[in-house]
Amino acid sequence: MNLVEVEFTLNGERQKVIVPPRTTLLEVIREHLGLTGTKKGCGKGECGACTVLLDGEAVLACLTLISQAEGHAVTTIEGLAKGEQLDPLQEAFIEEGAIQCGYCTPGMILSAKALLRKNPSPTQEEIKTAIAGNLCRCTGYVKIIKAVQKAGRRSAEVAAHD
Amino acid sequence: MTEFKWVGKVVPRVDGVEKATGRLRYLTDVGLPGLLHGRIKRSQYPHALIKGIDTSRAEALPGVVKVLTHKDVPGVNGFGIIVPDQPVFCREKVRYIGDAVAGVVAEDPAVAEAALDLIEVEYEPQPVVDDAEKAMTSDSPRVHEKGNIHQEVHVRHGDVEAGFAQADLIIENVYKTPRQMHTFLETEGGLAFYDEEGLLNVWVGSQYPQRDQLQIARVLGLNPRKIRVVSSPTGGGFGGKDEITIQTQLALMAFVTKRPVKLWLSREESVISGWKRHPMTLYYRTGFKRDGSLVANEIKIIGDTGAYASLGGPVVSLAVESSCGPYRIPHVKIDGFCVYTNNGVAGAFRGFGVPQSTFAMETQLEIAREKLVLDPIEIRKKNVLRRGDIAPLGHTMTASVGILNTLERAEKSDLWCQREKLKSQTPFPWKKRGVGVAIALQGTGLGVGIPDYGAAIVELTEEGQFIVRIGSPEIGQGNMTAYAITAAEALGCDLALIKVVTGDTRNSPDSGTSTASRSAYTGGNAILDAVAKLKPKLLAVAGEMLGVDRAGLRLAGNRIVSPQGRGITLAELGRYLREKGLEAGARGNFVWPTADVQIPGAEGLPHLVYTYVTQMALVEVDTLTGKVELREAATALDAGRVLNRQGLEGQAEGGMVMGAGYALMEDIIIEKGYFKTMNLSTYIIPTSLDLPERHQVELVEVLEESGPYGAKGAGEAVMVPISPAITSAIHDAVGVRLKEMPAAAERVYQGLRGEEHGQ
Amino acid sequence: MVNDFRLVRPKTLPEALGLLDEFGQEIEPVAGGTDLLVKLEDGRIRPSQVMDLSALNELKQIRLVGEDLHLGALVTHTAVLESPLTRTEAPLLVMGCRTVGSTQIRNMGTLGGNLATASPAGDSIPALVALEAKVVLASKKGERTLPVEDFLVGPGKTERRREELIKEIILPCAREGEKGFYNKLGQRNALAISIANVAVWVRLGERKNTLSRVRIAFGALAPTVKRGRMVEDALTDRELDEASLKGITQLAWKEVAPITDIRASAQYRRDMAIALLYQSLYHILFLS
Repeated sequence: MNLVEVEFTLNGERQKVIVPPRTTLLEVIREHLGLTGTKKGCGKGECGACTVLLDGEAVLACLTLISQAEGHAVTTIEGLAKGEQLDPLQEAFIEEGAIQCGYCTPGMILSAKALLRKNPSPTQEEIKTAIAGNLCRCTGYVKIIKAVQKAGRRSAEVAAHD
Repeated sequence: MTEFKWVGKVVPRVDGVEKATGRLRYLTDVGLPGLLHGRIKRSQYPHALIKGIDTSRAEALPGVVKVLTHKDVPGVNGFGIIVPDQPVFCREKVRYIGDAVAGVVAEDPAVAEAALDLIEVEYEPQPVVDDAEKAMTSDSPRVHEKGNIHQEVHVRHGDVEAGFAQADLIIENVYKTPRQMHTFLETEGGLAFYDEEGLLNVWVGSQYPQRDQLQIARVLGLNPRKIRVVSSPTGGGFGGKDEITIQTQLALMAFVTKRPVKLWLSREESVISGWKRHPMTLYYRTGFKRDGSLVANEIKIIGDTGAYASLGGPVVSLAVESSCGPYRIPHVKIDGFCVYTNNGVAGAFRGFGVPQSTFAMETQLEIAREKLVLDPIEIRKKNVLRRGDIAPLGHTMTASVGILNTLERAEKSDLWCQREKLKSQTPFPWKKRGVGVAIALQGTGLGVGIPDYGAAIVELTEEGQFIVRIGSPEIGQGNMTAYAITAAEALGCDLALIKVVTGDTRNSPDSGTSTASRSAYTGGNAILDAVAKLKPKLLAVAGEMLGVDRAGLRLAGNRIVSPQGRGITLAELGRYLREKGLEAGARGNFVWPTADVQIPGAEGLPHLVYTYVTQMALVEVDTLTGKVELREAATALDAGRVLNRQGLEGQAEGGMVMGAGYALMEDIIIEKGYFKTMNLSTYIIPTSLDLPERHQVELVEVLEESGPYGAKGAGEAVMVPISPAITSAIHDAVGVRLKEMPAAAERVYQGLRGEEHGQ
Repeated sequence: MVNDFRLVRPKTLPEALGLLDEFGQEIEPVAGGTDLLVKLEDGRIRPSQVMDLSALNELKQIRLVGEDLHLGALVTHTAVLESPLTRTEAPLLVMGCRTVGSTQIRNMGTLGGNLATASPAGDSIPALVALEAKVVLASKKGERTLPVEDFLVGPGKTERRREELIKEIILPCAREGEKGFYNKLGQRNALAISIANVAVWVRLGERKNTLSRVRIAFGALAPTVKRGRMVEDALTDRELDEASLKGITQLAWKEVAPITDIRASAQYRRDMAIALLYQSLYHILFLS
């Protein structure tokens, strides 16, 4: 059988998978490794529900061949909280009411995470640009934008205290 | 003024942590050992007779466990909320391109996919019925034997000709509305399996598990008690998961193979097979007095329901009900037709017919007020319904009516107060700005003639928690949080002690659908009833345990305390109840009030309790390209008492954006029965970069006595009037009056060229 | 059946070119994957071999070479937006890349991939054509360089031979007195495929409101991105005001040959060539 071997880190842990080459990163995460926090909304890169971080950058797992993850660090929504300690973005999404059906939430939070990593105090326009690839049909985005702003401020405060 | 501890406060969603961490398993996330994979073979033609189905080659493919056709359906080969006219698997005829002809169950998804191509279906194509109005004529080919008009509604109130005789101005126009798609982010899917007790489990995100259970039972010819349906959580519904989506086919797959099966539609399959908002053609003739008062309205509405009925009849009925807006009009003649075509399928969708007729009526009013040189707020104030008025359908508005309050609040919004300044701030010479206002009412609940009932069970556990069980599923709208707030307030306990269970036929009682802006109102009332029964019992037992009179006892936090400061914890009480074998829960219920008249032949008409909303838009039109951008919006909403403040704001914000998408960009194009819009690349919904800079949301609390703490529903109205507000704002900006949505750049551009040429 | 291809994963450019030399007819190279994966999923292509280019770090560089900017084929749209070099030396390209898809698509999609896909609506291509960028094609036998404009043959068709790989894109650095504007019309403001777009590059003339050189490239308005030479000539070396600009930009009508599709009609697109060009030049002449 025609298989490829790929090694990468997922949420800080080394992973080695041996799968058919046609397998996407999304299929590996959801089906082979059983992490279902990463969602599938279209399978064609048009909705952003499958967004994960590849070396800190937001990418679409449905359009990533697993071999393209070789040697890279992949972060999914399951990798954000440290035990029961939620990421500031997760806390802010809950506090600001930025979640409704929740299906876009993991991808949305990861897009925001990639933004805050590069730009801890983004403008509203920068936030809108960062999450424009993540469709949300429930919230109208308003509270999501507020949550990202809040998380950015909070991260900056934490950083200032450290 | 009543002081509330939880009602109207900002509280975190009860399912927030699970959703933010990705821990929540949606039903399409659940796996099982030995899971088989299902796929559906869909029609090749929009309209054709089936001459033969040969599944032998598919069955011979290694890895295929079973190929299913109509022959495998043990019960009724049909589903549909009102009439079961849609086949589970088609036998003699296909009526739309998404129709299911066969199903494959295989060990592997790729094998199932490959097997689809091996199923040979012989068709005899039939003439395609692609225009609802033509479909109504006697010489049209028939989609169904009984004829193409599925349902008609006729309303006569007053004397419409006498009304027009009094009119100083008569406006006559035809309006057309697009085929909007729900675009829930999670496509239709889930799994079915037999559990240890021998129950057939069907776990598919939907809006009414108990009705799904009945529909599955009818198809399988099986006692519904042998079926368990789980329908929560769901990655968005908006009405598109109200009717059966895949449940009957999936259930049949597990029923026949006796093995766990997963079926999950791809986005393209979801687009083609799924429900849509009815495209409508609306003929309006409206009479006004010189002072702007409405005297007569003659309306004909034709709704394209596509191949099958689903809720098309009631959708057209609601379009009829709201066709006169929230206005007093003494003389009306309204006819509605729900028509079969081969254009996909249409069914329930947030707003349920109201967005279509509101667009038409509000545009009629704007055209008149321009001719009569009247202020847009004043002409509406003059005509709006007030409590006690006779509505155009002839019923008395006995419940709370807050439309005037929303107008007054919206009039004070920043958008309206600063509109001249905002309009003047155009960045480039080719940009023009305008403002628009529109109002709407939305009937809540199912209306007269459709029994509308809710139930809730509230019980105390041995851990000292209260479990609230209500069938109406959480579909993202936040009813779980609203239920927790209502229960915590009524019980007087901490919100954190409430655990809510919805959307499961085994673990939550039938409380009706999560649709029709009804679940918070209905479930909330049922909770209040349950708590009213439970709380005295709990206090009595607590009094017994403490050896004090129950009269002075009260619930505080996680304890029941006496005036003397003695107390027991809820956990102690819960354990005591269990030990003594005493009832630790109570069941509450609620039956909806209904209006004093009924429109014959129209299920649900009229309603009694309505939500009211005013919305305003500031748009910017690029006069060289026709592109329209929504720059600011304002919403003033009367949904009665605010239960969950953040949740209600979220509904208003999300609803407004959905309505803006409807006005500006969304449409599923079907040509000769074939979909031209197949995916999320061609079906476009607003992104974060398509939002206005500001959307001011004002919650106007006109209390509704029949609601829990005075609350009414809110989920739908919030998306309705923004669409005509936007099209009116376009007119204000550039003089183009749109009678067809969406206001895509090319359509507006054509309007601008027409203006130039004096058309 | 789901396409089950063989995967080759070269570590270096010579290795990749060697593989292409041997198996070029069967190999489909994948860069960012944003286009290829969709085509695979839709079953529009069924390659027997796919070559994952992601390890070829040598094609991810942005370098200044003399007066030119060299952008490796695997430079992502995001890299173009974030590189200090492109920001100063190729602002028009930055403007074009900014309108591509979404953040995720820009993080994944590459300049070389966008060129190889050769969509008439590819958002980075008009900027490259207006900048008279060149594309370097490498094979085991050597390299050849073509103007981007000539590299494009038709929708999805290019001059790339099966044994070749796009190695890099070369464009002249921006100079004093040059300006650019990129104008895209989509159905919405992100995740939008262009209804029409235009990239305009000019060198300002010595006299006020004159242009000594003009280059215009239209996207989604012809089978490939298309230069507008007639209107370029008409705009060059004459004093422009709003009225004359309005008049001259009408010539764009004759430069394009659009089609009708689900997003817009051919007629509307033709009118948009004029509108987008007018707005772009207005920005350049009167607003900046």
